[in-house]
Amino acid sequence: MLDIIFPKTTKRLFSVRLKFSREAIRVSSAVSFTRRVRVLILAVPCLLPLLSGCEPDSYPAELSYPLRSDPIVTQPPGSTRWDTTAPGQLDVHIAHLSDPEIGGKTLDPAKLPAKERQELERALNEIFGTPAAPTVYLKDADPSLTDALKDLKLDPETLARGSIVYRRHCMHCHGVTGDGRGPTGAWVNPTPRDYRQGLFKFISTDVHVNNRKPRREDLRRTLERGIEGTSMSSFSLLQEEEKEALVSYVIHLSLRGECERYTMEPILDGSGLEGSVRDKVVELLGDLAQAWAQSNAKGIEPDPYPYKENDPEHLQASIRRGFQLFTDPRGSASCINCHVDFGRQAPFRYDKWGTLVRPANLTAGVYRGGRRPIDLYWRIRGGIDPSQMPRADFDDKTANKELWRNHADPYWDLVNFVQALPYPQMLPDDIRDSIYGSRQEKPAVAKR
Amino acid sequence: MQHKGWSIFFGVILSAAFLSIAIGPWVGWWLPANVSTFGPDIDYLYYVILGFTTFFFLLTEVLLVWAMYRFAGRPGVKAPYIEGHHRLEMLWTLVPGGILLYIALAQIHAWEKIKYQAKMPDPDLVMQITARQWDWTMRYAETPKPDNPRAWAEIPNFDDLYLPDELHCWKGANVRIYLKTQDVLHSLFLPHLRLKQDALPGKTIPVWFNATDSNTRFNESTGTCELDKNKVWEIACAELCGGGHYRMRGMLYVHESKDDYLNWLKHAQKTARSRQPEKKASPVAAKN
Repeated sequence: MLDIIFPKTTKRLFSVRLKFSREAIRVSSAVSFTRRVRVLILAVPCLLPLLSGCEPDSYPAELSYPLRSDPIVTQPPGSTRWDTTAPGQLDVHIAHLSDPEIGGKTLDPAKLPAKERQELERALNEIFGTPAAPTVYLKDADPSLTDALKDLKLDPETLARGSIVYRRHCMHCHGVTGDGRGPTGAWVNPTPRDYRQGLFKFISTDVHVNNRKPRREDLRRTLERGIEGTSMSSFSLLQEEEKEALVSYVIHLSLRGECERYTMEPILDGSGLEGSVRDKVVELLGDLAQAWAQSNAKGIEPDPYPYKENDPEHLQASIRRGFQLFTDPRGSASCINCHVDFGRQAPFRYDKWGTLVRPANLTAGVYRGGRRPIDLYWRIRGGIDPSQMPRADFDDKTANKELWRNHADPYWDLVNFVQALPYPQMLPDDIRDSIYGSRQEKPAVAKR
Repeated sequence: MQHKGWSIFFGVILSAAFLSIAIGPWVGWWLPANVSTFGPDIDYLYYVILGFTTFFFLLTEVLLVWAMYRFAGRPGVKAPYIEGHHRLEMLWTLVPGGILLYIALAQIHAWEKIKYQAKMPDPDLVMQITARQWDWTMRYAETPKPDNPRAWAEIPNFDDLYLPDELHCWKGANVRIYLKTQDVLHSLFLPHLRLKQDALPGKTIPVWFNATDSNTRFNESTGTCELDKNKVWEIACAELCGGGHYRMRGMLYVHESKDDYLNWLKHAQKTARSRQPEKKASPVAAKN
């Protein structure tokens, strides 16, 4: 084979050898050109496996973040029409939302004028760098912004490390820009989180913070535990610094996406910008970085647990009060209005990303935001803004005087009930019967 | 000569292939350390099969290269036409047949010991593992051994502990795992325990093991498990299950003793039932 590809080299090699080498030289030199090419073609795939291991870890240096091209959902529809879009067609589905029949509002970034598009691209690239060298950097930034960025650990080294890990583990679902539209993203349900709206579901940020963002530890928790009942898996075995770098990189993508989105929006809806495109991006970056830093600094601190731990009697009483609070349709919490039949018959609705979601089926024992009591507490007290789950607000003790008189702590009562709900044996008999049906019926079914 | 060149070419490639495997034991390409009671049974079968395949690999490849050299085409010589050889055909059908039969009989003992549900030892520790795209969720009962393990595997309890990707047990414990999958086929693979079991959608499959060595001690003051750096025993998925197959990693923590395990379990349960946010700041934040 070698003598066919390199006749001259082999000629030299063999010429010192035995007497029949002369014949070999004659034959191999006579090998036709096409045959030589054919063997070369065969040899290339043999070498490919050797070459395939040489891909570098990070993104190519010349790649820049592409500008957003998918529709922006400015207002999700209020109606709850059954979605008929085929799987893998998220953008088709979202483009449909603005149909008058469905009643949502969307904007198409393709309509961005060329001049603004160029300016926006330049401004974003200047501040946020490229996938290979991500930054959140502003020349002459005022000190408050610099401090906020420092709090959020958005230095170039951490981000560059995060980008490498992100590319390996996250990009195939969450996409290069964090748009949730990576190659595998379209095929999972619920769709991967699109960071560019700056919205996150499972956060523990204090409810009084304006524009609540997740705290670093919230993103970190999601990363470590995954999200039960979705395709987000656990990354608990990544190294410590890899996880921290990933959190920073997600914040970076979210900041970039939100700056992009809220600069595009006024241009597209016709209200226009006051200054230049770059000014708008800078202004947004300042506000958003503040919001992230403030959110990061202040979490919901639950009141101490008012009952004795591991006391079944207290727990049963608390579960009962939680049940009443949950099921009273005109009460202060009235969870049952959305979690119809404890979520078993909950109707679909649109979340702020424009995808269809359903209030959780709380009898299933699957908690996306985590199953610890503190996780449930955060969900109930903080709400899940992007999917339009309102927060239970009993903070004002004078307005909710009666509530606080009946409950040692209404939040914890709700948590206890929601935690016990999937386990019938944990519920008081009458409550169990009203949720899961009476026990006496069971043998009759079994006989048949 | 250029016809004989092929025999040299294949001779070199095949020798290189054989050498690259043969040097395995000296360069760390061999079976990982065994920490399972039934590991030697599995290893024995591996070696028996490896012996057979090595012998026949060498035999056939030497014959092949020799034949390529010996019977290389010569200008002006017409190749003979050979119809076949009945006795040879019989020979290389019956010999492998006999070997297969031997392997089938030789593995019965290992199979009975490891996979027969009726013969599985009484468990000291029961857990349930659910595979999904792409991680493992380990579910631990309140106590190491629930009253009715099989029923517990099917119906979760209020006080269960859920933990992604971490399999904890203790040295010398008969561990029973009830394996499930949420979506597609997966396969729970613990190379150091010589344990591999497919997870089938809709089925709950019991598997067991007993670890003969430990690699973990629970540190009560820090609340962390101290893993021996020289004994990192990973869990892998051994069934191609989709794009994230490669990252279905898990970690096996074998505690020194039951007490150490129970200390860890108590701590893990306390964390899982936490009613207050973690006080511990994240390590990076602590540096500043």
